[in-house]
Amino acid sequence: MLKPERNDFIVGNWLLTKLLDFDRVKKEFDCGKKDLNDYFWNDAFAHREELLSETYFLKEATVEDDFPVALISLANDTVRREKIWDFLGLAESKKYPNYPAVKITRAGVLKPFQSKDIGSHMLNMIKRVFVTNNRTGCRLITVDSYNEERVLKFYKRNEFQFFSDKDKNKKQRSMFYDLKRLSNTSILA
Amino acid sequence: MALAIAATPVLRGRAAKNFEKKLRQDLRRPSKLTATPKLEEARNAVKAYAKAREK
Repeated sequence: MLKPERNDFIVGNWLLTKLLDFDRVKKEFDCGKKDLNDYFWNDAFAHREELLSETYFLKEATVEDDFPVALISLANDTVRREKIWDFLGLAESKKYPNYPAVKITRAGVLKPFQSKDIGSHMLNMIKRVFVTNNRTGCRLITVDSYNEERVLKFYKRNEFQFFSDKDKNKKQRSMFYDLKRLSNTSILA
Repeated sequence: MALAIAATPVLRGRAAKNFEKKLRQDLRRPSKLTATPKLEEARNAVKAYAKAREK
């Protein structure tokens, strides 16, 4: 079993840890969606090399075998607001020129374990970490979601919302979750 | 090659104002972590899968 390290997140019996063995992902990870597999098999490593994103894998902590039950790639992000002073007044708009965010670039669950709440648990872990154990400010989680009913339903169930309808006919849709809503609740206790 | 990661939209003018308003309104209804009632089932499935791989 992996030894928990600095960037590991453990909730209950589940460990989310940085992915280092990308070859293993190529051999063993299949979420049933071609584009998503392609991302994790080929792009995730390159993105890591370029310092663009980090990929984490979820495993059951007591199982010795470190096969990835689920994968999630994260990148720093920002939600920029421009020309808002016309509406808010310059002083107020200057308070928060941008909202710092973490972006879920891609996430997927190994085929045999889909529809078993693992994806939601992984998002819960990410939410919890970015509220309780963050090293810098992070107000929002953003996601680049496939524009597919099943995927959008999943993110909506996890209380993500669309930024707008402008991308409703595109292949991907941008959504967000406001971590401040969670920080006001008792999950942190 | 997989689809490129789409850029997060830049919110301008009215869209930015509406977003701001939405954030403020939503703070009145705090969020909870999503319920995961099938997680124990998932855990057992993962253990069984790992066991089967040992063979």
